[in-house]
Amino acid sequence: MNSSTHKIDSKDRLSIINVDGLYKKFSKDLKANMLYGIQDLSKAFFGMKTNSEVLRKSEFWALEGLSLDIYDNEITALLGTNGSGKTTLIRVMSGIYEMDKGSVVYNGAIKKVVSIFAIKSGLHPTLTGRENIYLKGAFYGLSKDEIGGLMDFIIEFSGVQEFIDAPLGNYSSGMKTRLAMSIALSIDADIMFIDEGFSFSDPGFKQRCFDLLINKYKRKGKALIYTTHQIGKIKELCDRVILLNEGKIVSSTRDVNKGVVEYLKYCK
Amino acid sequence: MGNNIGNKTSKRSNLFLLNQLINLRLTADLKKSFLGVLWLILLPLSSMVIWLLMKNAKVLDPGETVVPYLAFIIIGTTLWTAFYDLYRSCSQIFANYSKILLVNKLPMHIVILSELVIAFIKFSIPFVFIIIYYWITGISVWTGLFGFLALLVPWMLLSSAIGLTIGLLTAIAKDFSLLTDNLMRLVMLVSPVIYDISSAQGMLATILKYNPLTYLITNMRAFLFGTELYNMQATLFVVFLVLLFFIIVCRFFMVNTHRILERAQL
Repeated sequence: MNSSTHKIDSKDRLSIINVDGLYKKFSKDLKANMLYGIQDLSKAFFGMKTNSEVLRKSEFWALEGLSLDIYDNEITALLGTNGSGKTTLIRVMSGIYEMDKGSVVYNGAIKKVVSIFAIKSGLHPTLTGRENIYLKGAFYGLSKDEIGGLMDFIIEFSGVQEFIDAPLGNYSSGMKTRLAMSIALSIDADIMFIDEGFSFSDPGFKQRCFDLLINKYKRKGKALIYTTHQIGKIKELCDRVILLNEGKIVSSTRDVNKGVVEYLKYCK
Repeated sequence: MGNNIGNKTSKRSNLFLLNQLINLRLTADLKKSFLGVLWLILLPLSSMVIWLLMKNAKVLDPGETVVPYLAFIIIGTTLWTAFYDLYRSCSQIFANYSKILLVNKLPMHIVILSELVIAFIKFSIPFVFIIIYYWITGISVWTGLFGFLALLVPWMLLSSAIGLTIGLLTAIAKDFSLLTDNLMRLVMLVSPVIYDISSAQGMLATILKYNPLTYLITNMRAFLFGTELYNMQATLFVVFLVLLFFIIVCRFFMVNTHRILERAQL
């Protein structure tokens, strides 16, 4: 097994997430994936050790020995071409995927972690916009009072005031995205993960999101990690770029321009 | 290998999530109908009416029984419907909540609890009609109601535990739900749902003896109608096994949900 470690000078910053020797594998073959799933499940049921640290036939390392720190008071962009491992890394760091080897440790007083993937999942077409705010808020682990406190902000930020009591099924796709994004961004998270969250086409709303994120996450004890292919806004939004290729970290730099240039080399 | 990833959820947020999940399942889809939540009452009422029509048409006439056959069969089929529905909804948890579970890391005990509460509410509505029907026809059920409800709990827990197990396996390969959904029809036939255990002979009698559902459903009816209880020692043993099975499955389900869901995403 190889490993990729990239240390960065970070005086006076708290390592809010420490990733050490991280490995994650997947199977290329659907049938093999099913078979391994049954095997692993059976072993787990009887308390036996699964073969998580070795590759079986048709498996490959999606992440291979990654070590890195994510610091507070920073917005970090994970860049890489398709299949480089950035979505897998962000999902492992946010706890959505289990790692096969290594560790991910949150430091400091982390109470709330929000992951923005498949932003519209969980919204229900027959419920009104307002009812969906309560539903999605409950999915994010908020109580009724907490959601009630965020309600005015969400409605105003999403710009769907006129339709807030209409069924979501009547909303346009853009309105649904704005509502779902506003719910997620309204939450006072300590760590936020966003995977390709800004692929929508409303430039005004996108700018409002970026302004809000800068205001919220460039603070002590907070961190934002996001993946994107859109390099236009990276310079404005990010403090650091981590570049991945074939499941390994290629570079990690606070010189955002340099990070973007290097990323573009891999895109060719 | 290890991590300390996870959101801390409060009791209030968990209760609110439970409330939202129940509301979503019971009423959200019905919003797109003129009658709305009235369907929750109309559907069980219509099945009662169908049984009454069949009885009046003399289609249901198995001869002498300890209690009227219609009284016997409507509680049996209602219990079976609750059992099968809960099995189905638990086995479909990943299909129903897939991305939400994966992204939001919902507390699994709340999701499982919501399925149990929904099943209980769905059972309660026809059960109230059944009680009213019994009262009209002079069958007193009040003395054994507590015993009935005490056995209803393991009845529900068993169906949810089977559903959760199949749900886990189905997330990996569809074969399991295709097989078990069909097997469930057979399970109904080899359980005393529409017939009394005393009428079973030969191989069926042997199967019934080893079928845990036999003890639960037979004694639920015995409690309700005040008839003789059936092999209570074995019944208590079955209740113990069911509780154990449910606890093991729930624990296993909660620990392995994310491991399975990431495979299901492929």
